[in-house]
Amino acid sequence: MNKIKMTERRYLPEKQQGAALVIGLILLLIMTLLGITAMRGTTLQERMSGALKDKDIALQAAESALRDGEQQVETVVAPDFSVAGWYDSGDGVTRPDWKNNPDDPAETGDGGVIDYSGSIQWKHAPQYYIERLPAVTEDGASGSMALGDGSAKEEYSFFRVVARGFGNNGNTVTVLESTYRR
Amino acid sequence: MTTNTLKKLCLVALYFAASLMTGGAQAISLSQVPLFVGAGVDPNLMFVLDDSGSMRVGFMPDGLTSNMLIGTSSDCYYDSSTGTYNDGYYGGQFTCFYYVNNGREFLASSHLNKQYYDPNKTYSAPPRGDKTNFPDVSFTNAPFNGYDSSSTTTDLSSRYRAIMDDLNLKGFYDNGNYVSGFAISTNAAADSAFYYTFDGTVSGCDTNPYSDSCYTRVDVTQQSDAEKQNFANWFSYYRTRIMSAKAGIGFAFDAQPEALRVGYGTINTSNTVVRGVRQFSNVSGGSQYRQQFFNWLYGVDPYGDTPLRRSLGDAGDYYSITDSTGPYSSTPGVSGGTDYECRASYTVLMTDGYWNGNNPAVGNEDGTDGTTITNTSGDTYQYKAGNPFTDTYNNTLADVAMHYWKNDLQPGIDNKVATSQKDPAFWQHMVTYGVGLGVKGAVDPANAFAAINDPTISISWPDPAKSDSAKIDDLLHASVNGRGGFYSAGDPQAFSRQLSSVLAEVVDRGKGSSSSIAANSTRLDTDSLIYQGLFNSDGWSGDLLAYSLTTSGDVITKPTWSAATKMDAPTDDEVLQTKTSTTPNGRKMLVADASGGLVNFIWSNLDSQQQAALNLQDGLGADRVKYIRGDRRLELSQGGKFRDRTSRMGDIVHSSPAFSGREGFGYQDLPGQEGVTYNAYRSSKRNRREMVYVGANDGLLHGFDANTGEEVFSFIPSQVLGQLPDLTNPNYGHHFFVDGSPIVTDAYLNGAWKTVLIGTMDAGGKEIFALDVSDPNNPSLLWEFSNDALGEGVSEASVVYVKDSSTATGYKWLVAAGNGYNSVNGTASLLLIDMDTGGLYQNVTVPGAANGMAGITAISTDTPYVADTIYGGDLQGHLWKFNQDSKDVWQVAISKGKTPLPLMTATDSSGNPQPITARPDVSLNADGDLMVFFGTGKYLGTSDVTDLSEQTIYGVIDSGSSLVRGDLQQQTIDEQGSFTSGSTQIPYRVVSNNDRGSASGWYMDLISPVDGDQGERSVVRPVLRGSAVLFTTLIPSDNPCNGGGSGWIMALNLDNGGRIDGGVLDLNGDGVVDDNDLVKNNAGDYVPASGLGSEHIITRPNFLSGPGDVDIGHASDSAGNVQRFNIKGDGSTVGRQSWRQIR
Repeated sequence: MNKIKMTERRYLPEKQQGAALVIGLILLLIMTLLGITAMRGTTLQERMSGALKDKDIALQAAESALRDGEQQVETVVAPDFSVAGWYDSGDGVTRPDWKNNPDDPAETGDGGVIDYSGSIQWKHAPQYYIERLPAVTEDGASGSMALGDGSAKEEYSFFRVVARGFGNNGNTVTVLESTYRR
Repeated sequence: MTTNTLKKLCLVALYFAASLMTGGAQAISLSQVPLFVGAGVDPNLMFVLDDSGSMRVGFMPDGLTSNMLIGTSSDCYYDSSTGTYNDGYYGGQFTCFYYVNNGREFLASSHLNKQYYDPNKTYSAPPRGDKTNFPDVSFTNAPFNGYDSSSTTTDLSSRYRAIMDDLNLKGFYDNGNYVSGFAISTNAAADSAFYYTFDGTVSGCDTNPYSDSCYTRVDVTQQSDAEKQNFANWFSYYRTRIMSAKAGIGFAFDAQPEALRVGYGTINTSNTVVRGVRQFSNVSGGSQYRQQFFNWLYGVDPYGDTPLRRSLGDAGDYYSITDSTGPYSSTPGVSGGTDYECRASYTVLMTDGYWNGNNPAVGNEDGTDGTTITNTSGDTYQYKAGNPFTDTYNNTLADVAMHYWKNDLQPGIDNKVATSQKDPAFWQHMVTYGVGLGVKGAVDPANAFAAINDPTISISWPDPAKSDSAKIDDLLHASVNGRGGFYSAGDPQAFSRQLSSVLAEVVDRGKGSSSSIAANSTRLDTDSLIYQGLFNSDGWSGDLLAYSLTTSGDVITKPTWSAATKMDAPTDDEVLQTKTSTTPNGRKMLVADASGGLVNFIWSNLDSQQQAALNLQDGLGADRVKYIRGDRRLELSQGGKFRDRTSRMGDIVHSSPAFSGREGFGYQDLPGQEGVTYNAYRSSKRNRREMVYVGANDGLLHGFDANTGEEVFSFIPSQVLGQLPDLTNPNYGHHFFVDGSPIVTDAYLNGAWKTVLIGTMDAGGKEIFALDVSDPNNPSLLWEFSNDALGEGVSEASVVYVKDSSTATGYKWLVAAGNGYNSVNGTASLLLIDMDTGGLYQNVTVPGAANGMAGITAISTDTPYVADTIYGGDLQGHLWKFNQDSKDVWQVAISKGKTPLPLMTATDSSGNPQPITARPDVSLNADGDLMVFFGTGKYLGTSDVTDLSEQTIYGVIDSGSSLVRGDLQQQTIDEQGSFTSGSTQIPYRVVSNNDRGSASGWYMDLISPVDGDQGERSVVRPVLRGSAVLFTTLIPSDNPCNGGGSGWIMALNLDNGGRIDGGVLDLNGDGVVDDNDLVKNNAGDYVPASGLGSEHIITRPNFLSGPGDVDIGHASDSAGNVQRFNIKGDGSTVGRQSWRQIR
């Protein structure tokens, strides 16, 4: 009995030894896979947060340019539409197509754009253009209702400012638009 | 021939007809000059001439004496067989007469001796003072003294002799001939007239130009007749210092207007003053004050010292005379005059040398602080000794000047002399000008004057006792202390020029403005320009100025362009040309021809009737055309027959300029094809030349390029053509021509949008005209309208689009206007003119005789931009409302039975009717009620100036019923005071703020709580801005020191006529309307001010939207200034309206 048992016993340790190796190997494989996966996830997350940051840089850049454009509208000039970046309603000049082609640095329309030069070193400088919207009629409730006396009934007070900003990666672009009344 | 053509032909003759028609007893008097003109106070000018002995000499500068002395006096001794001369003695040195045989040829050359004949200069015979000149002198019969008709003469071809210094030869007889000035001798030393030319190429002449080897003799008898003539004129009118000074002074004063009071004196006269100041005019059959000046000037015979200090003191003492015959009196020299507190006094001290003589004993005036001087307006000033005025020396000329500057010379009267940056003195003081002839100092005059306002420049004055040069610096110092000017002329010609500029500075007045400002935008931008029309009653010239604005809306003092400057630049030949691309300086001056088209105003283009109207009896029509085109050669002073002008540009009085550029009028909202096509028309204006149009009393409507001031075209309305000869008459008394305010707007004519200009004549006549100015380079005449119903005094019209069921579209374009005054029937009516044809469309007459309708305002209450209601006021105090009946016929809107009733009957508190002469304006209040705003009062004829009847401003609600004073809520002017902002005092008013309740509007009597009834009235259209209505009021004044009057801007809550919560006026001018603009009322509370005072009459302000919530107002005033003030903006939300992310 013992002999048989012993014989049986003899077999078993041999099998056990082989399983441990396999299991060890499998575990090792799992660990490796886990490790690799974890590493890949971290890298992905790192990549993901990097793109987010870049998008944020682009947004801030675009907003800076937008505000610079609004500042121009508010303070600077009687619009001179021969200056790059200024468009008048109905002038037939092709605007930059930043909706469909936002990341092409050469996409500056036929009338040009204005670079926003902040203190930051940009991959591409944020840009904007200003479009004067059609004159609007001033309402009669606060002013003279007189007709035909030669006084202009309309005032150009609305402007559209469109700005784009780039992230550190030239493919990250944010395009913003605002309507501004002065 | 069309009706138009017939009408056209009649227009030429209409002026004469019109003058006959207005002869009725009920005619309303319309003044033909601006009402506040003639009220000005003319400045005093005391002219002090140096008559010291040195003025007799024939050389300049004095430095030449050192080279004139040769050896001992015996060298100068003239030895003739008949007698001996004494030595010349001048400036401490022996000098002597010059004659050809003893060398010193430089003395007979203008190279060094600026007094001697210069062949490159033209010596004109000086003016006599009676608009004629002395005769040209005969070369063979030239008087020793051209200014003396009884002077001995000489033959310059054989009996000429140059003597440089006759001082000690005065009264000497030689061989029976009187030696006067340049002595002429009959003895052997006499010669033919000659001069020397300088040749700088001869060796040594660059270092010693005195050597005879540098000079070549020219014998005048061998020269052309023209040169002989020039030499002869020089000999008789210019050869000594006093003679050339007389010529220079004569020319300078001859060019001066009569609006000046001139006195004169010489420094060697006891008390200096020969005659006190008198009006610089000749009264026909009366005092010839102007001629007296010239007679005195030409008779001055110099002999004596140079006691400048005493003389300047004498002039100052003269200005200190306080009795009613004194220099401040309205009747100087005659008792009973009135002293005017704003009269300015100037002394011009002219000298050729260095002062000596009496010590004035004033002490060190410029080194001592003055007393504090005040006036009733609250201004105070005290002279503080300091740079560049102070020195440490006593009793200098500068001390004398300072004495009479820093002290109030007329302590008995208020101090209201106009101030300037250079001269802040508002008290009666003497302004000193120094004019040196051939003398120079060491201190730079420009620097010295700049130092008055620039503390960084320090001036160190030398001791005048120490050197001659320092005495000239003392003359400059006196001019700085006396806040005048200093000129030092090196030669007689420069002297004349500089004296002229001194007089121009003194006389720069008479200008004024009576029309409103226009702007090229409704918003303040960097390229914003404002346009101001001006007149100058001295010679009735005018100007249209364009001013740039700073980013805060302040006016930049130097105009961007001046129409008069531009128009005066071309030559007389150029202005006679028609303007084309090759003749850009020509003029495109247009007039209607018989077919109703436009032709250039050239004699050959005119038809026989037009020619006859210009020919008068003298047949000078062709010359008149040239004169009107601007040919100045036809003026009296240039040998012509016509009136002298001071500029080609005539006076602009009541015509407010109109800007026309790319603006839109909202017509895209119109029904039908008009609305559909309007935006495209708007876009087509994009490249149009921007223009500013203005009517002037030179007979023209002018169209100027709004950015450069170039006159693009001008137009003569047919009715003024027949009056143009008045302008050429040397005795022209001013009257009005194209005096109405043009309006420029868009209208749809014959199937296309056009930009049209509607012009009126105001007091200049009875015509309305329409031009198509869609292409300003090629305007065309649409029509000229006249009609029995049309009177004069129509200042502006409106172009309206109205319903008319009889037309294909159901609408019609009309020109609407009140009919003005003195129409044939003398009634008041609303005139409606067919815009397409220029024919009368409808004349809606209101009840009342001896009446007239002022400007009207059309509004839309239904379809946008389709006018369906018109308001207008008449002379009898009725504000009428017009509308259309069911058949689109215009009618008086309110009636009781068949009796038409006005919307409002304006009466004062005693029930007297109040005339309405200004256009009303209309707006909605917060409740949506239609409110009509208007003021009352009349300022048309001379009797209106002294009329003190009570006038009122109104805001009435149009609810369709006829209103009287009792239906309205009263507001009152409660307080009037003065707000201190920095060093300025700003007059303000506080008004009541009564609740309107259910009253149908409000009224406010224009009675000052301080001054009571003073004839305050409102004769211009109110301005609506946000929740405020702004009335401009006018207070005429008899006191000429008030510039004809003063005024207020009343900014009221349009709903109740009271105060506006939080205020509306930026009283302290800091650019925001806030608590700092509140004033403390009698109850001790801080309340907003509602009135802003002006010391001059102001016109209707123009507003620009400014930075932030502020509107910037500019108003032209009767002194010709542009006044600027801020009000609160309309509060509309500005800034970012929307934001989105596209990518």
